[in-house]
Amino acid sequence: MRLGLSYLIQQFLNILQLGSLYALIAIGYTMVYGVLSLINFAHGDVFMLGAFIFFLAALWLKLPFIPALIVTVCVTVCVGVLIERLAYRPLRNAPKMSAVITALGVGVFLENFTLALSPYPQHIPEIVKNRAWVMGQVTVSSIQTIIIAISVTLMVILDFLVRKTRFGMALRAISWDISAVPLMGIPVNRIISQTFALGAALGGAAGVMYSLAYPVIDPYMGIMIGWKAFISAVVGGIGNVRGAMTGGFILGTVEIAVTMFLPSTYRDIVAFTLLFVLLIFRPHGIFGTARSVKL
Amino acid sequence: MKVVASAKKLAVPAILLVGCALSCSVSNSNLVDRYVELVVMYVGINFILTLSLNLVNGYMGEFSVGHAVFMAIGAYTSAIITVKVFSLSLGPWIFPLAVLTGGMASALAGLLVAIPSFKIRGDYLAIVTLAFNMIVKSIIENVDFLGGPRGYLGIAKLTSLVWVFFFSFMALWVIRNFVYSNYGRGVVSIREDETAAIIMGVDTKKVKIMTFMLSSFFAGVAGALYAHLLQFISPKSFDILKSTEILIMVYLGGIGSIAGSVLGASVYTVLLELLRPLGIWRMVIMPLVLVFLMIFRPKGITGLREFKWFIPSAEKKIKLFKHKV
Amino acid sequence: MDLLKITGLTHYFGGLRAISDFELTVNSGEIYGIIGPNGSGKTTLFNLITAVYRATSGSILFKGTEITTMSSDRINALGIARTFQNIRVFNGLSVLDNVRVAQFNKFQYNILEALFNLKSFKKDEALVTERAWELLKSFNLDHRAYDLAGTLPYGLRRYLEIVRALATEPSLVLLDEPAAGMNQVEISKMIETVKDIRNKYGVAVLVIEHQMSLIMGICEKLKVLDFGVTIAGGLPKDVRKDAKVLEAYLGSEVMD
Repeated sequence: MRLGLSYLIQQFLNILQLGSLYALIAIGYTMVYGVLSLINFAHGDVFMLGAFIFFLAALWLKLPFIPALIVTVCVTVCVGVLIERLAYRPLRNAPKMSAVITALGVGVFLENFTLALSPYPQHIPEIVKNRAWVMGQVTVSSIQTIIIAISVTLMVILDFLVRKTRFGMALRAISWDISAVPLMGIPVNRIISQTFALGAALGGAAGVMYSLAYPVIDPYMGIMIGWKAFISAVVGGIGNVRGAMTGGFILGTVEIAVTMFLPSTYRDIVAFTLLFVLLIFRPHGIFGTARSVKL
Repeated sequence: MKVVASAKKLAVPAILLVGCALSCSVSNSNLVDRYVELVVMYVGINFILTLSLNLVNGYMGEFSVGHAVFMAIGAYTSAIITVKVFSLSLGPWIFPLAVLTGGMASALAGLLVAIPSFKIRGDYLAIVTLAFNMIVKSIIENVDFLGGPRGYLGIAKLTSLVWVFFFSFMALWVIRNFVYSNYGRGVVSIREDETAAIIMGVDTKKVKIMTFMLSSFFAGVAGALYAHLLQFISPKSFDILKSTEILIMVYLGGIGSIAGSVLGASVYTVLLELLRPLGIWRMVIMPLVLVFLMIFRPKGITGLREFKWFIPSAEKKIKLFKHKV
Repeated sequence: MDLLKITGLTHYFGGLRAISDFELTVNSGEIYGIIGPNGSGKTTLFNLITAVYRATSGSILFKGTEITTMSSDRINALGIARTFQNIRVFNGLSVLDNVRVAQFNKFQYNILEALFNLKSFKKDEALVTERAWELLKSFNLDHRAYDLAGTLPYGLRRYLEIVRALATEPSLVLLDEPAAGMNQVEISKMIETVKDIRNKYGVAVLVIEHQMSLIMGICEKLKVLDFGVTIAGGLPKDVRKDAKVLEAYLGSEVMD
C-alpha cells in the first residue's frame, strides 16, 4: 500500500515546507491589506526578487548562506519600502482602483525589468550542502529542515511583533480605522513603511528558501507563487496575520493532497477553484467575520 | 429636413460599406505596406478588447482584471470550429460564423463572473475575475484536445483587414447604442451609487448580466480574430500579462469613454511597435507608463470626455466632463 | 384604502433594537409625517420599507402585497420611491439622465432592440425623454438638464432627487428630511413642492423631518418615534400637546 504511515509522514514534511513558504508570503499580503485595504499585486514579485538577489549574492559575492540571506532581506526591504513610497503613497487618497492598477503595473514592471537584465530561467548553484537523513522509510533533507526552522522562527517573531509591541498596536489600530489614527498620535506614514518593510523582509526570505528547495529561478515565478500566497491570505481571512499563516498551511495541505491523487498539473486548477468557491461563499475567509457596512 | 433625417439613417450602413470596401481594396492592392496593415489589424483587435473591458471597468465601475480569459474562450472556440468542425471548403462564411460563435461561448462564460458580482464587489470581484482567468488557463493546459500547454496549431489565416474593420465597427456601434440607452444609464448608475440605483427601480442584476455578457462577447470576438491572425494560440497567450495589457489600454485612453478606448488601443499598439528596437525594455517602460498615468492623470487621455461623432445626435448636448469619479 | 400597512415591524442591528413593534397605515393621497430625535429609527424605517435592510420580524403590505421579502427594484416597480437624507443623485450622469434612468421599470424595449438601435427602441427612448423633460420643467430644473448632476448646488440636488423619485411613477414617495439645511424661505418652497406632489401627481407622501414648520404645515397625520418605539401618533394638533413628545424634545424650541 502506497499510503503507508511513513509515506504520510513524508508528505506531512512536504506540507510543512510548502505551507510555511506560502504562509510567509501571505503575511505580507495580509498586513498591507490590513493597513491600506490594497491588494499589493507586486508582493509576489518582491518574493521573486528575493530569489534573484540571493542568486546574485551567492554567485557574484560568493557569500555563504546566512550572509547571503541577510543581504537579500536588506535589499528586498528597500524595494518594498520604495514601492510604497514612490507608487502607492501618492495615491493614498485617490480612488481605490487607481492604487490597485498601479500595484499591477509595479508587478509587471519588476518582472520585465528582471527579465530584461539577463536571460532566464537559470539554475542556482548548490549553496547549502544538501544532506539527507534516512529514518526508516522517511527521508529528511537538511534544506527541508532549514526552511521549516527559519520560517517558523520568523513567524513566531512576527506574531510577537504584532501582538506585543507598540508597532503591532499601531498596526492593528490602522487596520481598524485609518482616519482616526493620526488623532491618537500614531505616525501613520512610518507605520505603513514599516509594514511594507516587514512584508518585504518575509517575502524576500521566502524567496531565498524557495530557491534552495526549487533551484530554478525565472522572472515570472512570483506570479503563480504570489497568487497562491494570496489565496492563503484570503482563506485565513484577509487582514488577519494568524489567519494568513494558517491559510498557508491549509493551501499547502490541499496542494500536496491533490498531487497524491491526481496529476500534478491539476494542482493550480484545484487551488484557484478553491479561491473562486471561497470568495463566493465565504469572502471573509474561513475564520473571518464580515464587517457590517453602515448606509 | 427629411433629406437630412434619411441621410442620418443611412450613415451607419454607408460607413460600414465604404469602410469594408476600402479595407478590402487595401488588402488586395500593394498600396499599403503589409507590416502597416498588420499593425492596423492589431489596433482594431485591441480596440475591441479595450472597449469591451471599458464597459465593465469604466462605465460600470466594477473591476475586472482577468479579461484575457474571455479572449481565450473566443479564440479556442472559433479555432475548433474552423479547424475541426467545419471544413473551410464550405465557404468564406464559416469564418464570421466561427467568430460569432466564439463570442457567444465567451458571453456564456461571462455569466460565471456576472452572477458572483451580485454579491461580491470591488477587490473581491477583481480576485474572482483573476481566479477565473487562472482556472480556465490551467484547464486548457490540461486538455489534450486543446493542445495542452504546447498550444493549438493549424489555424488558418482567416482574419483580414475587412473582418477586423467590420467587427471593430460593430463593437463600436453596438456598445455605443447600449451606453446611450436606458440600460447604459443603468450601468453608470451602478457605478455612481448601486444602492440608490436599485431603489430607483434599476434592475441591477439584469444590467450586470447584460453588461458582463456584452463585454465578454466582444472580448471573445477579439480573441477569435486574434487566433486567426496569429494562427497559433497557447494558454500563455491569455495569461495575467495579457489581461494587464488590456487594463493598460483602458486606463491609458480613459475610462467611461468610447473615444478613450480608440485612443488607448491605438496609442498603446503603435507605441509598442515604435519601441520595438528597444526589445524587452519596451515591456519595462509600458508598466511604468501605467504607474505614472495613475499618479498624474488617473482618468486617462480623454478623462471621461467623448468625441462628438460617437454620441447619438439626440444626446449631443450633455456635458460629459469636469467630473470626478 | 390602505396603501401601505405596516404591522409589528421590528429590526435589530446586532443586539441593538433599532425599531420595535412598529405599526403604520398610510392611505392613498395622504401626507404622513414621522418625527423623532436623531437615532430614533426613522431612516431605518425607510430602509426597511425599501428593502435596504431586511426586517427581523413583522410585515409590510403595499397595495395588499407583501413586500417584506421583495427586492428593492420590484418594490419600486410596485410604486414606492424615496429620497435620501444625504442626497444620493447619480453625480456622473446628467440631470436629464438621472430622471431617465429612474424610468427603468417603465420602458418597453428589450436589449436587442437597444443594441441595434431599432425603431421600437427609438420610439420608447423618445417617450422616456419627453416624460423626463416634462418633470424637469415643472420643477424648474430644465435649464440644467444637460449638466452633470454632481455640479448642481445642494438645493437643486434635493429637488432633482424628488423629480427622480416621481419619474418612477410611484403612488407613495418617502421623503427623508427634504428640508434639511434649508432656510425659512426655502422651507416654504419645499412645503409647496410636497403639496404639489400630492395634489398634482396624486402621490401619497411619507415624510421624515426635523423642521417642525414643514411637518406642522403639511402633514395630515403624525407619528413620533423615540429609540425605535412609537411614543405618540395622530393629528398634528394633538401630538403637539402630548406630554411624552414634549419630553423627548425637551429643551427644544422647535415645537412652538
